[in-house]
Amino acid sequence: MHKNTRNVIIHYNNLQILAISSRKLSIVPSLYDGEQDPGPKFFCSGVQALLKRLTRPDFAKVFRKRTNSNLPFLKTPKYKFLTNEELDAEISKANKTAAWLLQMPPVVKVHDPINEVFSKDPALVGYDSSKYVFTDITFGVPNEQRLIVERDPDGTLQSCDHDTRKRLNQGRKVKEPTMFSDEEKFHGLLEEEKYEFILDRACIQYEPNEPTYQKVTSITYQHVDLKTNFNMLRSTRHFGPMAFYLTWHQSMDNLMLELLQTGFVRETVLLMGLRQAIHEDIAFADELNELVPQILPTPVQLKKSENLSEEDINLDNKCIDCVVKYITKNSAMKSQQELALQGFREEYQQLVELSRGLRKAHGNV
Amino acid sequence: MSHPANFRSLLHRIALSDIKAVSRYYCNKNDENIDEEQKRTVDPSKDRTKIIPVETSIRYLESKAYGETYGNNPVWKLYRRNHKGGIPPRKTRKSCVRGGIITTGNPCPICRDEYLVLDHRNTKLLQQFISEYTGQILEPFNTGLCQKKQKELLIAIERAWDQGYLTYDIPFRHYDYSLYIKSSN
Repeated sequence: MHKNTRNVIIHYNNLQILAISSRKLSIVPSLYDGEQDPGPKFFCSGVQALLKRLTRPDFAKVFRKRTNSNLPFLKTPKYKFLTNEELDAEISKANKTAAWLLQMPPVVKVHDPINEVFSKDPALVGYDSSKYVFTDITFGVPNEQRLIVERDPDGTLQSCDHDTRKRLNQGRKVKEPTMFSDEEKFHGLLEEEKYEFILDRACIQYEPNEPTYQKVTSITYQHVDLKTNFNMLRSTRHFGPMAFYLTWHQSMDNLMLELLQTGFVRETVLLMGLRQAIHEDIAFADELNELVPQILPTPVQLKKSENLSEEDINLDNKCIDCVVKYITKNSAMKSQQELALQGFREEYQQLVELSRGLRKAHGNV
Repeated sequence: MSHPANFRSLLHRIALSDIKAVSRYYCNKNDENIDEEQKRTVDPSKDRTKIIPVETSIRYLESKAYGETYGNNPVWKLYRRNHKGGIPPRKTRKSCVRGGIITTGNPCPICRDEYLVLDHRNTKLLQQFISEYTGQILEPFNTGLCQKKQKELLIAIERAWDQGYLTYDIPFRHYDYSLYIKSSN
């Protein structure tokens, strides 16, 4: 099952030595613990809109049947007859539910270690051999702001560190799942590409500003990037933070290549817009800032449409120009992306001819 | 021979050892008789002393023999409990296996096949006892497992969920962005 372990039995002088070598992935996790805080950039509305559009929500996947309601029976589907207005109302309700389900886990920097010392009383040394912990239990105070202090045996009164705070706030001790603490199990899960399971579980188990959470998510995102399995995370809540992570660390070129190869030029431009928003190092920023608001209102394309209107064709041509500029100036995988773009252009030309031919045949209707 | 106490204690010890030897001889003879009888009467198909490793069980679930026996059904599908009346008792029997031997007629679906081992790595077997519609573990009332095997099944499934051998749909967590925006600003 876990194919990354190899058990080798060595016979040496009648001694059997079992050597277990595990081919571990050479992925180094990187946390948001530098000087720059991703929080303000992540929560700004422009970036949020870009990330949501990049996830390309497919309602069939978003609204799939999940087994986490713990009810022992299934609910039968309801069929209704609706007028057009009622139908529009239902569609907007569905959009709101989809937005709720696709809410992105926050991307924030790792929380600072708490070092606040209130007082030092050496007179209390020898009073007791254990620490005392005092918690404020007023109702209505959010757990993060609750006052939790400890008195050490050497007399120092200081606020507790994050681990103690978490233990006290949750009440009973929640055991960390073995799949996170054991490296082999974690890598086995990554090999089997169960990314959604890992990421959902990490969201439940940890806070987004904990170092363990950041480590788990960063390893997962890098693995997805390596194997180019972006489709597994599309239409989930995790695609946004993943795109943000890759752009933050300047490694989004693989994603760009995948978008070009599958023929989503508009999303390529949105990705460039995201990079501009985070790093602000694209030369043709003005054109980009004009183009992005034109793309965002267009509907999410899941399949290749055959009926391309002239406006669509104009927009796509502008996108292609932007992509060409990006490849020449900012890209790290130039040759592959140029090849992909060439392939896309040929395919797109065929699509344009087909749609123009169709419109002509139908009499420009 | 010098001290009468020593001599007496020596005699006592010899007598005791003789008695022990005699009783051992007699007991051995009786035990041997009983063992022979039991060895003669144990049916190899009911013998559950041999522990089958998990890897063998995993290979068995992919084998032709398993396919011929169970087909595409889960292992408990064609099992029927024997009981009085129309409705079976709410609890299944406590255990099918006592002293390493199956001591019941009609043992439960896991006990009757020695190559079905409940282990957290044996995901193909464990999946058969998890409902595909609700994701919950099926009750022994429906599957027919004895209580001992049901407990083993629960332990194996919980371990598999914990270590990642089996996945399940995780409850949704909604975030309050206001907490994180304030702290970052």
